[in-house]
Amino acid sequence: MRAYQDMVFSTAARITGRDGPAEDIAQQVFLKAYENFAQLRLSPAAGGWLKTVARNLALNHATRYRRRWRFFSEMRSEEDDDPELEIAQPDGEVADFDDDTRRAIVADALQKLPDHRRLPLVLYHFEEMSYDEIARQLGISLAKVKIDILRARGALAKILAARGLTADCF
Amino acid sequence: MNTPLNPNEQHEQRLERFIDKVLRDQPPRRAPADLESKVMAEIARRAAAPWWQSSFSGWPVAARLLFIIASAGFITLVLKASAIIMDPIDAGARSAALFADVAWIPSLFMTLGTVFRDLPSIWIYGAVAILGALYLTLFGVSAAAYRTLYAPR
Repeated sequence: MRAYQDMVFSTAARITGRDGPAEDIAQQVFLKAYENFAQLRLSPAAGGWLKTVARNLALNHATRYRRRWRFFSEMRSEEDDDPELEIAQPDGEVADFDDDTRRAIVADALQKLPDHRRLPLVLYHFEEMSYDEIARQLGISLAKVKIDILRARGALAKILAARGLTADCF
Repeated sequence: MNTPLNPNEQHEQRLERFIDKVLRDQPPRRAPADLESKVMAEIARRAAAPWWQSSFSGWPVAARLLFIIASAGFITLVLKASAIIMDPIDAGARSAALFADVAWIPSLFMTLGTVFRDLPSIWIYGAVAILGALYLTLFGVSAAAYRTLYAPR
């Protein structure tokens, strides 16, 4: 369990965007693993099994939660979101951050994205799901997935630029 | 032969590469320190709990069979009671024969049926409208509270 708990918790936390539900999901994953201990004990695919279960449980949670609030959280999105895309470019001096600070800034910026933007972005970049898979999973059109991800990247780059993180910092 | 990308597509590709690099640089989040102890405590709690508190698949086979038979019996009872309410002419005789020990069940359904039949329809529409308004108010207040206090900005 110790070898996998960070991976399981990370998967759940990135998809749900909240630590509380992510901890509950991580517990459920390991309880399921305990129920299937006989099959998993010697399996080399145990890590993959845990990741898949964590992802599915987190997606169930996120989509259930998203459906509940979609009307309220998305009705403003088309007007409020900035369609403007930008890559954070160095603006004069490049800020010098150590790795931990830089990662903390990115994690915080990711949390600042609204759920309906963050979720497809996380599924694409962290979970390596295709646009088609994300569209099927979230029950939205392929075009909307592409637009959401594109806007999420733009918004993330903008937040990072505001904190002094640019392409040159990586 | 590759068609050259227009400036917008080039921009999008650079943005994708930048964000991909930024996100892949992120290490796994550290699990809470007490996650393992919580999982172990839950496993211990489940192991100590009596069988009827575990999931249905964990029940003994005999208990599962008995539960299914009892549930089927209850559903039959409810269906028969409903049939009596729909045809109340000889309800007394039928209920006496079929439900000698549980005669109060059809009586309850009959009473409820009578009450609903005799209610003026305006009361029913009014009650539905009030319930609908209360539901919408509660939903609206909850959504506003969520957007104000909890939703990420």
